Amino acid sequence: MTADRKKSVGSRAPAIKPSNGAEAWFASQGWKSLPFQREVWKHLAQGKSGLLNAPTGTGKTYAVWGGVVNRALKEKKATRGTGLRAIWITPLRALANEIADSAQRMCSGTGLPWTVGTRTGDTSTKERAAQKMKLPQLLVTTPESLHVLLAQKNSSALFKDLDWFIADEWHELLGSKRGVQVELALSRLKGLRPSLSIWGISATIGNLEEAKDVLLGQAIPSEEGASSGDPSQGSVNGVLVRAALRKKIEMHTIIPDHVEKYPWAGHLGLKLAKQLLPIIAASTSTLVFTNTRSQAETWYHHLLEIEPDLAGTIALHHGSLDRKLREWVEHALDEGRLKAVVCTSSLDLGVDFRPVATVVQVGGPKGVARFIQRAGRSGHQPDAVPLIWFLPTHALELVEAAALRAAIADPNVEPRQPMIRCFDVLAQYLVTLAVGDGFLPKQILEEVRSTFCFQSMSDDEWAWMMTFITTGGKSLLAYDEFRKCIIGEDGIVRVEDRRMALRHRMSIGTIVSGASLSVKYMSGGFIGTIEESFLNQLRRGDVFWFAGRPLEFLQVKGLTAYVARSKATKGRIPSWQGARMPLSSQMASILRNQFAHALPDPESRSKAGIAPELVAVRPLIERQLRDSIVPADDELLIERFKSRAGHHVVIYPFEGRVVHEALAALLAFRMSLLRPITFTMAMNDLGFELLSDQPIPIEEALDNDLFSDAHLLDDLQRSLNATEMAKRRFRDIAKIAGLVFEGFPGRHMKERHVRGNSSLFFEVFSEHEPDHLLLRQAYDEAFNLQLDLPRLHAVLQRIANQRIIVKDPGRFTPFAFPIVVDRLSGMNLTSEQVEDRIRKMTENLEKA
Amino acid sequence: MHVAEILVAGERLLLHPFRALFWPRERWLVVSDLHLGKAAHFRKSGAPLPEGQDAATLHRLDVVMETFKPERLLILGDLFHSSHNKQWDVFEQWAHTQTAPLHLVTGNHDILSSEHYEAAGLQVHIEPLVIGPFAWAHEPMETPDRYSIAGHIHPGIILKGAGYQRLKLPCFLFSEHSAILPAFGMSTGLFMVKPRPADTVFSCTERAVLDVSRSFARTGQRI
Repeated sequence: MTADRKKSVGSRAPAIKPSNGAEAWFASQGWKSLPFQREVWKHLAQGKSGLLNAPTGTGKTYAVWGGVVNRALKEKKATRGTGLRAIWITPLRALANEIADSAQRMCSGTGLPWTVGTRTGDTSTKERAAQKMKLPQLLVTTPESLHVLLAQKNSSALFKDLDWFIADEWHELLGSKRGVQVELALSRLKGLRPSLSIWGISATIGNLEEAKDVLLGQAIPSEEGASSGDPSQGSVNGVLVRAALRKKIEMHTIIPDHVEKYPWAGHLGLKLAKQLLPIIAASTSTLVFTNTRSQAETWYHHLLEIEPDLAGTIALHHGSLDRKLREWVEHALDEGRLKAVVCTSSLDLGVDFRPVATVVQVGGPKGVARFIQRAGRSGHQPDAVPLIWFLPTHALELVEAAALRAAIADPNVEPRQPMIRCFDVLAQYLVTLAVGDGFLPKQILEEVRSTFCFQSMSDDEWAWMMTFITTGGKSLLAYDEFRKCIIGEDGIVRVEDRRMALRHRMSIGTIVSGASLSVKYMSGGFIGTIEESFLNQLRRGDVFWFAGRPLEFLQVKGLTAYVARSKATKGRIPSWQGARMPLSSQMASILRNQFAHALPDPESRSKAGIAPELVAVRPLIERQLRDSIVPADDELLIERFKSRAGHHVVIYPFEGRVVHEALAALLAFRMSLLRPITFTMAMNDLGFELLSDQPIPIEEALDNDLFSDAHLLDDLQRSLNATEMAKRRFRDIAKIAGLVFEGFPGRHMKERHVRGNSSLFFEVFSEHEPDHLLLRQAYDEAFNLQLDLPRLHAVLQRIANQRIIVKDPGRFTPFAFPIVVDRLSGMNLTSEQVEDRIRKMTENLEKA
Repeated sequence: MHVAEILVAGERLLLHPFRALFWPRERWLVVSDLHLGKAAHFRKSGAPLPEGQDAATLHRLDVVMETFKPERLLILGDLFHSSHNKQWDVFEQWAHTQTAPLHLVTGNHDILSSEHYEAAGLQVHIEPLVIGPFAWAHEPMETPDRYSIAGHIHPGIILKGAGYQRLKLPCFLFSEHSAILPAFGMSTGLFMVKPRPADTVFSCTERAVLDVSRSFARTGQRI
């Protein structure tokens, strides 16, 4: 570690008399503690819980860990627990080792005789077995691995000495089902250890208080009154500590030389790659962030193609690569052996000790918080300014760049909404407990209800849940084949079937990806994982690029795809599911403003005070103005044109992708009532497209209150059914709840006839058990997450006050192009008879 | 209900929207891939799938039996999804109410012991059944001097139309020397086939069997 990096934790200052172990150790390192660190130490000394809001690179790890160490040092030998004392949750397994190293350094430096271990999906079976014998005092782990621990026999005994629970990067977990996993695991740990001290560490988000409340949960009512007398102790009423270290961020945008010739759509941005080379050359280390793994592979490949000299000095890092490869890249970056790493969110987070000199963001980051976080990977020294380069992947992203610039100047960071009522995660958790030590329903109900996620769960819903995991659900009561959990005579719910238990342990987790296969060389050597759906497109001898290398596909055996090195220079790039992020609502409104600024102002013609990106994008805006308009704040633009694909209507509310998806479904549904018609829909953050094989009756629809607020709920519900949004939501739910199973490794094909798929369950539940709780969850999720009702009301009210302007540009406009070309969502809606559609499809061929 | 007709090997065949085939000259009704007992099999392996699809499948079978009043019913394999469970009893009861003889050409899923088939009154054929110009089999095959008709793969097609519209539908696929029937059972899944220009393809909806061969008449399929 270099002297420079040490400084990142605190700043050099004249020594003061240390009042505790952490302070003394800081002094011995030549550091001085920061006020927020001392504040967290003070709270931890009092056994309090809380949330620390501090960005990466400010010494947040030692703020919390120092407090734990201080308190542990004060313990008398006789009362000191020797088992597992603290759990540290990190969302990224790549970070676990670094956190463990820093924590261990502090323990050793302060003379605390603790060992620190890690346990993630990357931990070897040998190490796991060793941990089973003797757990370290601090275990750094992921939400999934913690649940796997709960699924062990005798797991309750593991936690008998546990006093601290830390959820690092809590903002990353909050708002996802992984966050719910943490809530549930914590409710169990609190049940076992009522005085557990819980701390979250979060970057700045819009709802920090709520983030804290979600993590800490409610106190668990205890029959024996086991919680200690001190009300400040335990998990309620925690404290919120803010590091108040807001850093200024410097942002540069790479502007294409000829915006007119820069692509109007696309998401790769490779045309600007040449301009990236001098930036990489000028910096000691650079992180190039892309939004998808596929994009990272493409960029890595492309950079080497245009600058072969980079070979050996740049690397690739994403979540589907082998751990050894990822670790090698992380260390090489740390030791200064790499000039640049092309990465995805796999390197979003970083511990305090690995700053880089320069950060590049390729394509819109879709949210202010993420952008600030990524910028924060550079300039860790307290007085250094984080610097981030933005590289737009298509011309209109220049406007997004201007919006980002406006947003970071005045960061009003987005909130992360916690998920509620995730019964799929609960089903998984209950079976996890049943596989482990078994559980008493009455006790676990109290605990589960103490979480934010399940505070509103009714008795009926709980009863349903218990039926679901024992007999398979209400409608299965008549059959005796299904046996998952069994309620013993002692009232304890257990899983007795060993095969069932094994199967469950293997499917713990809430991150759902397509079925994936390992990629290995024929000669041995694991490279990473790719999804089955990509593999199915390959034939023997095909070349694809993965881990930055050309690989020849040979064969699939079990769950492994065998490959050989290839000399080919061209090949396909794998794609992974779960690709792109929608724009946050905050960004959407800033974006809307930026378009107003982008208009050429005939009066002043002054470019002063206008973001450089907006100046650059003017030629495109002028093109838009020639064919159509750039809508002002009080206008709603609708463009209509015909192409070989059919009849297009594109509507621009500028509300972000999520709202547009709901609006598209709503408007398509309302128009489908006017006459039998079939729509295909596409959307981006600016607007959405309705496409049909026949002219779209937009004027008739406008006369019939197309944008009316009336019957909104009802119409949305019906459009939701018509577009199968709930069915798509159900895919993940079915996997998380254990309805479908990916199969044991190596027995891929054999298991297929019982693997089933989520659509089978969706169909059968819809027909034969429509009140199935997991089915209802799918509708609720679609409704709450995709059709955000209050926001839609607000949008429709805004539209009601806008002037609607229908334009016939005769061809794609710059605004329409990215929507029309970048067709990601296959959403459809129809009011035609299927037989009529078949007839049209076959008859139209004659004309074509 | 729109029933389609096709002339194959000099014989007229009728195709019913419920994914059944009727051979008028011999008065045979032919269905394939019922996969009864699937939900129960899933439950046994820990997947809580409610019952209901079997009843629907048998009800549809009643409807087509009523429509054609066949002299015999021929099942082209995969009658039952896996090893014995209670749903077999349900089928047995149904079988006992039938007057027409029941024939089963066994498929890869039909692993029950012969007593079960006997109890249901099924006449079991382990080999393809050769009658007149046809060889009736479970798995698609080429037979010299016979036109083979099989099931097994649950064929489906994707139809594409203007406006990026797509439809996935079960189909009957007739080639020069062989044909494949759609799966009769409910929720049995589809395997997408790519018809060749000379093939005759019929799509199945709940109401109609429609000739969609023209969609594949050129190089197979256009995008």
